[in-house]
Amino acid sequence: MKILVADDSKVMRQIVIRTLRQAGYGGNEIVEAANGREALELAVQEAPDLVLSDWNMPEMDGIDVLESLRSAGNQVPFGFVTSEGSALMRARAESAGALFLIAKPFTADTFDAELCKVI
Amino acid sequence: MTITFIPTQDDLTSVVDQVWETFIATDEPLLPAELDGLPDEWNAVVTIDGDWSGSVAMAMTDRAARIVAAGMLGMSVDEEMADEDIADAVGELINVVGGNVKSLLGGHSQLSLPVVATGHVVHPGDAVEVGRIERSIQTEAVALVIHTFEGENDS
Repeated sequence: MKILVADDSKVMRQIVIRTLRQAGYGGNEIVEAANGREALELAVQEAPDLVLSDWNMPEMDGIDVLESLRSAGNQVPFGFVTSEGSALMRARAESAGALFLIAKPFTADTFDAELCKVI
Repeated sequence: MTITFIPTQDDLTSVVDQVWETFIATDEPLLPAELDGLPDEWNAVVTIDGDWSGSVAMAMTDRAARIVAAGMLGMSVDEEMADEDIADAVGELINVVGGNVKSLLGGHSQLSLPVVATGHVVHPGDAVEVGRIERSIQTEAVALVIHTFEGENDS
């Protein structure tokens, strides 16, 4: 399987990838995007099996990436990994078609609880 | 709607300690401290704009910033690391802390992308400090400081 990890922070992308490994998903191919526009492009070009995206990013927010994908008919499984987990954001993510929203800080158990339903 | 709610010291302590413990892989604990002024070697800030307007900032010594970066990147603190990586790590730390503080506030607000700088930070004239957490890691100073922007919250 292929997982697209989108976050403008290189450090956070590394933490997400490390946490994927700790949660038992280390065998998957990882593609990295450093901003929202790159995430949108790679989500189309690379056809990942799952997108894990930050919300606040330069160029394009994660929610705009998701809405653009869905409006183009792309139904790639999409989850947010973001620093905010308010009820408002969770509701917006869900209505846009996100499968889950993992709020930072997270643990390997948090990842597994959501990813086991998708992978 | 304007929010005048300010997170309690317990709320802020919980956010800082939880984020630190989760993301910064180090055996050394982050300890409560009484600092002699704010450290000014590395500063990272996010602003919150909307029903509540203000800033969430972390200040720390250079060594503390290196401990943060090493802990987040899985490196040794004495390994050579680029300023860019330290800035990225400290910026992501304040991004997560700021996001958690914003979640405590409720209402409709936007969280900015983090800004990281070395040196002393000068706040706007209408900024009022409403919360501060002082910590040390291996005797290196780390502080979280919350400001509200009075003019915008009064409007």
